[in-house]
Amino acid sequence: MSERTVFLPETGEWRCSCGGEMQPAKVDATYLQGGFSITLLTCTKCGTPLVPEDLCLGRMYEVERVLEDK
Amino acid sequence: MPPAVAPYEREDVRRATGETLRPGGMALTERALALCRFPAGARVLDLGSGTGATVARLRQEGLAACGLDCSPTLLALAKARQAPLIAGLATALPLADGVLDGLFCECVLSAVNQPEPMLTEIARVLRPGGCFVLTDLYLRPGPTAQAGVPGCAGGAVYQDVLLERLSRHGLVPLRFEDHTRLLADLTCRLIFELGSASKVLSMITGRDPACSGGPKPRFGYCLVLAAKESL
Repeated sequence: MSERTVFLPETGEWRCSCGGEMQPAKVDATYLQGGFSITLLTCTKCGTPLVPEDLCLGRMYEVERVLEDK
Repeated sequence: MPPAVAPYEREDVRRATGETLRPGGMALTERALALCRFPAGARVLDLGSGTGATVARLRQEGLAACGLDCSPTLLALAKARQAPLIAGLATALPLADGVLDGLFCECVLSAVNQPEPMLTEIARVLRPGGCFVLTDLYLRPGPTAQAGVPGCAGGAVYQDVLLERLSRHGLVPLRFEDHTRLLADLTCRLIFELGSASKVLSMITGRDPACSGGPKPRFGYCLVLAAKESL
């Protein structure tokens, strides 16, 4: 897998609000009929992923703009 | 300055596109195969065969398919397939006149700087009634459209220009389908690989969007089927 599809926070010890531990796991990022797998820190208990701010305001925002422009 | 690496030879681009190096992967190849209904043993060339994915698929279908590419890098990657692939230029095909029943040209025409001589060669090697399968970038109409961008999308033209160009070379368009959704999907993958939309645009147009100014072209992606004119 490409390192560029792994998006983990650079610092901090993270714990989910449900109390579960956070571990890197594959998450399906989907849009319209497309999508692919990326690796995010994900709660082992409830499955909620942590989307780093730079991913959210960077690549994800730009993908959204492309899809809106389409 | 070292020579620029073509987008299709970049590893990061290949990670996003997969082995086919084009929007949609094999989806439009499968679509064209279903529409063309080549008989077993039909002689078909994949022009700009890249890593040989289409040639392998065509041979799986029972066709006498071979590929041609000018990139030593891609031909080396294709070696493992053990498919008949030859090094050559699209503007000087090493084939006799009228020997092909079909010719695939997937995401190649808009990337070459000599589309006219390439189309002359395509029309020359197809037999009358032979099927030309083209998948490619094109320019969609709209207030932000402009022609003439450089880079690997430099040859993208409007739909009417593309179809007129084929007709002028004796390749009669039978079908035009818009598949821009496949291009949007690949663009999203490329954004994740390369890091930003501006890097993707810079890669396919060969210029820095921040410095280029003016309206940006609206790219689309299409499948065109055409038949070589009968005598």
